[in-house]
Amino acid sequence: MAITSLTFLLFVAVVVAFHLGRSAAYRQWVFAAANAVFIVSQVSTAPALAPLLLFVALGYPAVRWLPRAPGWGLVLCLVLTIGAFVVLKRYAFLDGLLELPFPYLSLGLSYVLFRLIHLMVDAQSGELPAAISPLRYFNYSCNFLCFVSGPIQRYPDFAATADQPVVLDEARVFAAFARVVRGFLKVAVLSAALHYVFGQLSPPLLAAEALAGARFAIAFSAAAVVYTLYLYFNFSGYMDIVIGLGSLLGQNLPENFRQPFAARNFLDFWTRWHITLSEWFKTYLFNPLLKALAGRFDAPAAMPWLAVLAFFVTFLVLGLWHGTTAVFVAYGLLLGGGAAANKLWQLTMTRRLGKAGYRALAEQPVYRGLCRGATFAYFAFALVCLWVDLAELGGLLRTLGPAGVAASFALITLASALVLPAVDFAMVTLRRAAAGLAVSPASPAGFVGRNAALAAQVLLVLMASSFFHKAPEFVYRAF
Amino acid sequence: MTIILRQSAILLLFLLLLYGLALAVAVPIMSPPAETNLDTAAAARSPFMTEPKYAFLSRSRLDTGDDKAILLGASNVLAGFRPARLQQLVPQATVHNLAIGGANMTEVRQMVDLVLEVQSPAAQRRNLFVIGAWYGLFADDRARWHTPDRHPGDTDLDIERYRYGFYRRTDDGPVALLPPRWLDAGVTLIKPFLLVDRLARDIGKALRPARAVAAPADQVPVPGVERQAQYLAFWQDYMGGSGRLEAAPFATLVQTIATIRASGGRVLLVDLPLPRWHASGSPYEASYRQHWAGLQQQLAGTDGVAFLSLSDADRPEDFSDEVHPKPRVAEGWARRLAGVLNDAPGHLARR
Repeated sequence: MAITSLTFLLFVAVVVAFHLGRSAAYRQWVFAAANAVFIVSQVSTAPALAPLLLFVALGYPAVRWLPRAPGWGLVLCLVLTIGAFVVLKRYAFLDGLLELPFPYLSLGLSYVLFRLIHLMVDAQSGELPAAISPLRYFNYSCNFLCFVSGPIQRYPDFAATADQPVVLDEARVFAAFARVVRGFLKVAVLSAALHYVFGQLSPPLLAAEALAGARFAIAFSAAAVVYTLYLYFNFSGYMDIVIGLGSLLGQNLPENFRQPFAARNFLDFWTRWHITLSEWFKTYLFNPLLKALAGRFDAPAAMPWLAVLAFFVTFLVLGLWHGTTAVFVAYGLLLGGGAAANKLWQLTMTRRLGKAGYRALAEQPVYRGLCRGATFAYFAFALVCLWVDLAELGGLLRTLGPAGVAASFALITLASALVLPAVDFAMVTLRRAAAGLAVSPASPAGFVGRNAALAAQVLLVLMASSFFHKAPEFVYRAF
Repeated sequence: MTIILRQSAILLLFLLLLYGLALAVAVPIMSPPAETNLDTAAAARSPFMTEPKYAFLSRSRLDTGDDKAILLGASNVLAGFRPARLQQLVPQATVHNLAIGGANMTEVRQMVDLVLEVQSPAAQRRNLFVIGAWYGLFADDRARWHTPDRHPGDTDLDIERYRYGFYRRTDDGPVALLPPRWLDAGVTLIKPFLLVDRLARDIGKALRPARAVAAPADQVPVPGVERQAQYLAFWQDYMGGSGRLEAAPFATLVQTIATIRASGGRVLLVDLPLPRWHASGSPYEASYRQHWAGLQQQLAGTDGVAFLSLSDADRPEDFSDEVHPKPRVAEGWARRLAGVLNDAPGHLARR
């Protein structure tokens, strides 16, 4: 059952209908049944479920034991959990070692891992609000809305809404519908159109007979930009759908995107893109790592440089997490390198200009625009690892050459520096115009206007779906 | 729940209102093709725009009680047999060309099934399917239909079946959601989709840089050795690279003939020519000849099945590329086909 299918929407409608009881216990059972049905719908044979279920089930005793376990208990649980994850994900470096001899479901495993580690660490540090019942544990770790690709909700936030009765009013329901439709618009129209364009742009880049010099660099730049936008609309659209549907189930799922292309630097970018993932890495890798490093090198002057190292390691791991093959090492190195270089730049500029001077520079429109463009360009470059394998990446870099890489980077930076502010301006103008036209939602004109707009979007989605007979896959499903 | 149901109903109502408006605009603009002879080559000028869509959505016009010669195959059938000219030569029957560029035997089989499903038994008995064969028609499904741009195994006709929800994808293949007798109503209902598709294609065409004007097909010279090698390499890749044809597509052809015969229709199998340099340079041609001889032997004497060989028309200068005959040659092909159609026993015979 794909999240963007009609079957899934009907499934959610049934879940919502059954989920509106007053009793929290009843709602938990309904939700557990929904989660079970969703997961079972992803497989065709029962054994294919076994590894995932075992992985989830073994996490529960660990979460219950850790509050009273000795310090090494957490290390043991984390090593076993991450080890099992690496085996089940069939990482390429294992070269088939310990591989299970039958096909099984690995969908959602990464996000289940994030939730389990969160529960284990917080259980040991005593930050979990109370002992978790098996049913609540299953519902949290296998929440069907977040199962495939997040968002990664924290357990206390999940528990807080799970105990509250679902209160729906007209405004909330309309907002939820509008959010879901917007998600479909992003996935089925924008991301599908960009996917089509990318499909036209990328094959000549990977063909044996490459285009000539400048044309290759331009085609590469165009493909990198289009893929980045495609990924954004694909992933953020998916998030809109699950967050909107979650709202009808009384869940306040966390946001995963906040205008990422408005970011002025790479570190800022990761506070706006896949927010719950970067928050998770900040909490469970960056902070403990920096604390450990600070404990080892007890010199306040070294702290900024230790932060550079911690950023590098954190983003390296974040990149590695995205896939199981060698090209994701390159992706991790690019992300880690980007984050470390960003931090180093900030340190250097602060040292050279002083805090106030650097802040003043950062506010200059030209500098700000170029930084924004460079951030977009760097991320688009890094994302190339998601559409090629290592050999193809090597081929692309060889064909581009150092001059081609520099020219492509400069081209995307300059184009983004010019286009992104123009898009901002257009959006602000449109919003202002819409606000000027706005009438009270309660008035007849407001009622007709907002429902007609929503219906028009649904019609657009239906029409676009008929153009693109093969809807693009949800990209993050693979991670 | 009441609020959710209410909002769903409101959204549905607005959607229906908007769609009603879209229908009111699209129906008068997107009128169906008026020609007597269905011709997928005319798809670009029709509301259906592409050959598979044209063949899939216009086939209900074949549910008639007159004699029909229905031509099926790939693009060389389209180029070689122009239905308007054939119609003049075969006045007793209505000639339709539903060939689809790039079709293989699986797609031809599907087209036969799609035609039969919209016809009454009486109309089915007046069918004569003309199937144009050459080695490319027997391309393996794995090589032909397992490409990244489609669900594995979907033919171009399958894509049209699913595109508007007329069929549902199942593990056992497509299942009709729209009863075949409602096809025309379905086509009317999707006219807003067709209109938007038409507009998108026209805008896309206007935005694309103009291509250099190609020489008229009749004036194209015989390709040089290097170009010939490129053509041969293309077909080697297109066919899957093994250098020989599998038996399965030929078995599909035999099954297709059996289906047509069971419905009371007849079949004419036309062995289409290739330019000499192509036939002698491709390993698939030899494999095709071998299977074809076996097929002729197997079907010899079968009632309602006839063969016509055009393989002698293989002069390189008669082709505009490696497969397609020049327009001037199509006249000769049409006359030879008309000769057989007019001599065919039964309803098609000249009275």
